[in-house]
Amino acid sequence: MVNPVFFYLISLAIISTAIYAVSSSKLLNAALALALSFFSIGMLYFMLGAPFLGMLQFLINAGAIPIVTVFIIFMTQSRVLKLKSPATAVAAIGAMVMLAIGFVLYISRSGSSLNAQNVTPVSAAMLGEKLLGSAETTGKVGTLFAFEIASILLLVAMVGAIILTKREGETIKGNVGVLSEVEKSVTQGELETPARAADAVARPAADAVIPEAREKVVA
Amino acid sequence: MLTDILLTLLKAVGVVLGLLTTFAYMTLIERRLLARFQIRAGPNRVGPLGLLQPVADAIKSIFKEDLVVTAADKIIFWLAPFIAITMALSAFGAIPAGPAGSLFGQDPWVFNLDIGLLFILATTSMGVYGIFLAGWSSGSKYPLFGGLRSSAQIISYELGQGLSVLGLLMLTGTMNLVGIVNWQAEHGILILFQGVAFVTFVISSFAETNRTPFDLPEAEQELVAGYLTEYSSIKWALFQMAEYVNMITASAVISTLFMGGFKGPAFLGETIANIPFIWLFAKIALWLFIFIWVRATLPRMRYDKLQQFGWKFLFPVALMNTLATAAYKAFLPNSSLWYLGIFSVLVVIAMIVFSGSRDWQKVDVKTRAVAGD
Repeated sequence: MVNPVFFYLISLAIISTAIYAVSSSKLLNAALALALSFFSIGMLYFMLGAPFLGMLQFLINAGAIPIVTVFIIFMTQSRVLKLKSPATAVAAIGAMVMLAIGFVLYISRSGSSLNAQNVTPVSAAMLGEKLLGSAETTGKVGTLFAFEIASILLLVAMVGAIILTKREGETIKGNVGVLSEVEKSVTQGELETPARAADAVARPAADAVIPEAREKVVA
Repeated sequence: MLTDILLTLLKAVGVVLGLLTTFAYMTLIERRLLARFQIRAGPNRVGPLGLLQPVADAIKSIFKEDLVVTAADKIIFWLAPFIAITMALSAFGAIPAGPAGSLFGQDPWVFNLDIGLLFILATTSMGVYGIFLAGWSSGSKYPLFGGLRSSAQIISYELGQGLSVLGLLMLTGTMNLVGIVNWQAEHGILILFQGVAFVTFVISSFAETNRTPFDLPEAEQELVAGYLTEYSSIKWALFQMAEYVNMITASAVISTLFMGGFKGPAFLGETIANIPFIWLFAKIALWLFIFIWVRATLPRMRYDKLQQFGWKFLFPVALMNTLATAAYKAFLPNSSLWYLGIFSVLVVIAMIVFSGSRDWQKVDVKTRAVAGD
C-alpha cells in the first residue's frame, strides 16, 4: 500500500534535507539535516512494507550515527565550516541529480519496473534466516561467517580509533584536543577558530601580565 | 482504509491526551508523595486536596515570559523541546493495553509492529537528540555540560538496557509486545525466569529517564539545572512533560515485558484477566509509585561512579544473563523454565549480598580526572 501523496512528501523531505546537509555551512545543522534525511528514508521503508529494515534505519542511521557525529562536533568545538566556494556544493547537488536521472533512464531502458507493488513483504524472521541461517537450518551456507568477520573488523576499527586519538597531554599548535587534526584533514574549507581554543590561547597571555607578579619579578 | 486511518488517528489522540493528563497529575502526585515521605503537607491550597494545582501550574508556565539567550542558536533552541516530547509521546503508541479486539471490537493499541520492542527502544533513544540539542543550542556553559553528561549517560545505559532484553527475547521468540504478553499468559510471567534481566532493565530504565539516583543532568550544585538552565515557560514545561512521559512509558514497558502486561492474574479466570486497560494501568501506577519512592529514598550518584556502575557492573551482568539464557536454550531446550528461575534468584541474592563490597566502587585517579571531578 503506497499512497502517492505520502510518497512524494517523504521523497521531498529526503531530497531537501540531503541537499541542506551538503550545502549548509553550519556543521550541527548539517548533521541534523542528515539525520532527518535518514529518518525520512526509514519512513519510506515502513511505507514499502519493510518495517524491520525501517526500524534498523531509525536505530542505526538516524539514531546512533548522527549522535556520534554530533558528539564529534561538540568535542572539537567547531561550529561553522566556511565553504570556500559554494560552487562545490552546487556541483555536488548537480552530480546527484544527474546520477538520479541516469539511474531512472537506465531502469526504464532495461525494462524492469520500480513498482513497489511487485515486492512481497518479508517478515523479520525470514530475513534473519536468509541472512544468518547456517547450512544445517536452511540447507545452504548463509552469511553468518561474513557477518561475524565484519563485526570483528568493526571492533578492530574501534580499538584503532581509540589508540589513534588517545595522545596523553599532546596538543598541536596550542589547540585543544582533536581539533588540530580535523583542521588538517579538511582541504576544501577551513574551520573557524573555535571559541574555546581562542580562550586557551588568550588566557595564559592575560595571566602573564598580572601587574603584581611583574613587579615582583622586576624587584 | 479511510476508517482505519481515522480510527488510528483517534486512538493516537486518545493516547496523547491520556499521557498529558497523567503527566499533569503525576506532578501533583509526586509532590504530594514526596511531602508525605518527608512528613510535610505538600501542595494542598489550590482546589480540594490541591487537585487544581496542575491547572495553576499550566497557566503559570504558559504565561511566563519566554526568555531566549542572545548567544543561543534560535531554531535548534526551539526545536529541541519539540523533538524530546514528540519522541516520548510516539513511543507509547506501541504498548498494547488489552487483548486484540477488546476495545469495542477494536484493538486497544495504536499500532502493533512485529518489532514493537525495537521500536520503543529506538524512539526513546532518539529522545537524546532533544537533550543534546538543548544543551548545545543554549549558548551557555552549564547547559552544554549538562547535555553532554546526560547524553553520555543515556547512551551508556542503553547498552545495558538492550542487552538485558536479549535473554527475554530468546525465550519468547518474538519482539511483538502482544506476542510477549501472550507467551507470559501461557508460561508464567517473565520476572520469574528473567530476574537478573529484570533488575538490570529496571536500573537502566531509571538511568534512561534521568530519574534519581541518576538525575545527574539536573545536579543543581554542579550544573545549575543542566540542559534546562536557559529554558523557561512553556518550553521548560515541554521538557518536564517529556521526562514524565518517558517515565510512564518505562513503567509500561517494564510491566509489559516482565509482569504480564495487560493480562490480569490467571487465577481470577479468563474473563476478568482479559479486561482491557485496568491491569496495565494498575501495573503502570505501581511502577510510577516506585519511581517516586526511589526518588524520595536514594541520594544522587557521583558522575564517574554512575559511568563505572553502568559499564563495569550493569553491562557485564546483563551480558552474563544473556549467556546463561543462551546456554539454557542450547543445552536444556526441553526442560522446565524453573531452572532459569532458580538461577536468576541466586544471582539476584548474590548481587544484593555483594553490593556492600566496595571493590567495584573504587575509582582510580585517572578516571576521576577524565570525569572532571
